[in-house]
Amino acid sequence: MINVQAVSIHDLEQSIGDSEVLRISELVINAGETVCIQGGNGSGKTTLLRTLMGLVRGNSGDVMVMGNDMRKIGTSSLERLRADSIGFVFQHYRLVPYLSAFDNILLPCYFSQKRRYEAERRSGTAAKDAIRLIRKLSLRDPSRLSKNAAQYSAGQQQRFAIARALIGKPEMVLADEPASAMDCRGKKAVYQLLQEECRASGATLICTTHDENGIDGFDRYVNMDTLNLARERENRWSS
Amino acid sequence: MVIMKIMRKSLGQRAGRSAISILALAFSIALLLVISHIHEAVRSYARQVSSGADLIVGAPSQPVHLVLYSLFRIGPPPPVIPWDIYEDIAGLEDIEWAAPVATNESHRGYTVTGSTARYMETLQLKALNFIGASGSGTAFRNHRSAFIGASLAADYQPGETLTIANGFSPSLKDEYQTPFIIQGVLMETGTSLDNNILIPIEGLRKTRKAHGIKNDYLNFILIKLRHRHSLFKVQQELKSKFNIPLEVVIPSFELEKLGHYQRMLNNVFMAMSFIIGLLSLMMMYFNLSAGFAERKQEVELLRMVGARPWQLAGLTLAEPMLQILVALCSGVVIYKVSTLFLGSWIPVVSSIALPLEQLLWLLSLFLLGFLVACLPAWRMYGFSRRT
Repeated sequence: MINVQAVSIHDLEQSIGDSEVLRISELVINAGETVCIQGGNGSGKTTLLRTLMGLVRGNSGDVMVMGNDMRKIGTSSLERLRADSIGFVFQHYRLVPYLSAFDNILLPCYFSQKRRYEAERRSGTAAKDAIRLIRKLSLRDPSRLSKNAAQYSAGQQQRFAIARALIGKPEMVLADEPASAMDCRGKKAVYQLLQEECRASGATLICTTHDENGIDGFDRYVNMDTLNLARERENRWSS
Repeated sequence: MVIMKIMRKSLGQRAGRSAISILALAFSIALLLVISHIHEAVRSYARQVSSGADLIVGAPSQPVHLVLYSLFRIGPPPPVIPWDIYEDIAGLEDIEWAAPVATNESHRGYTVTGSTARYMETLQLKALNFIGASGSGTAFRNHRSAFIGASLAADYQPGETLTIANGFSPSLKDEYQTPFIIQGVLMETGTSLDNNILIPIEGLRKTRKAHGIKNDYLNFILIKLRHRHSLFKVQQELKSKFNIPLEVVIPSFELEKLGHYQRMLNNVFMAMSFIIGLLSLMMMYFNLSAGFAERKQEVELLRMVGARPWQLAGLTLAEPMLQILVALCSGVVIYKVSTLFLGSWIPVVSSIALPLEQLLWLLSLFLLGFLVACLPAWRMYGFSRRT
């Protein structure tokens, strides 16, 4: 099997204002690999993921995501790349609060033909695929998805966000603390689903977490504290 | 389309907060319309009434006062002038008709106006007849008929008689002996004519004579000319013709002078309501800007799933535009409803349609609103492109 690089980072430097938050000399993640990035609060995990999503552009160095140079990519190519190929879970703002849970899960299918097509191919309709994913996330009553997203608990919102990230078979899934608001059982189910779905579709999975233990099944574990060499990074909270 | 759904839901979520700015804008629009409605109505009423008479003759006084009293009963009555003057004027060749008006009698504190049907026509008075069943005509049935103003209607029955007296604080000896019979009730005008009793001047003169008043008199004369181009000629002629000094005024000229002040006042009110409109637009803008900070993450998320910058900018633009449209429509509705109430309060007000130029005010508010809405939309566009 030929190892195609999903992500390759060389000599990335990223500063916010005067403080350097990211300095990564090299990180290569192959397509189809499942990677868990571990590190304390403020170790730069979220910034790294946001760099991979194109939400922040590095100050210097190379960031390649599925063959695209993320520091030079144009607005519309970035749009297409994200819509068609990247599933994501934000740590804090998980869902659009005034849309129903169901619409939130289906959002990528509304904007990307490709992902709608994939979801329909998998389960007949995009809606059925959403329900299939929700079932796997040990949600008791998947039929009650019509309430506004803001009305669900944090844990449930996280589950919907994960279902949204996975729907329509994206080539890469980026998840920022996807299970932070869940109990042990939920956590297991979340990581298991992420890994299962990504392995089944051959997608690359990059998860960040500050949990040291209880997370298994990933192909590779990367420690952010050794990966990120930025001196001024905000490490007040890590012991 | 999902963008529509997002817009609908996002509007729904912010409905409570935007309702206040919508309401404020709607009220300022209604205020703007009501003010210009009243302005227009008063102007057109004044124009109609003043066009009925070409000249007004009275004892020397302020021309404006004479016009205001003779046409709208505003201010004190002018001093009396001898009756002969009326007869001389009525006999002139240039004059189509002259209507003598005497307001020197009273009945229990209510002014009694002695005049002719011409005067009532000129003032556009309408009456409900109870005697004679002659419909709504304002012709006096005979010399002893009387029409009572709308405010007096509750206290008097048609067919009842009333006696009148010379002056406004009469003693017993000022009381005329001949009674007048109430023929009908005048429709409400909203002016102090509603507190008047109208009687035919011929009947009044007879009653005066019966009371022993030798020198007959009146307060002012309305004149209609045969040809309006002889206006200044007749005005000068009348001023110098008699050996007692007279004031001869052209009502439309005097009202035009007043119109200047009225317009000024109206513009101040219009500016005030326009400023209220601007303030509510600003409120809308601040709401949007406050929302902008809240929406950054939402925009990030929508951008991540593939929403385009123009779609998000469109969302940001559509929301205030929709609010402004709703405010405009409800402002017009509030205005329409309030003119119904206004009509029963000031009857002359209900009779006009608003001129199209008021649409310009609405349009300019709408355009201003559009500009105000464009700012955050433009910011949103820039932010989305950078996200």
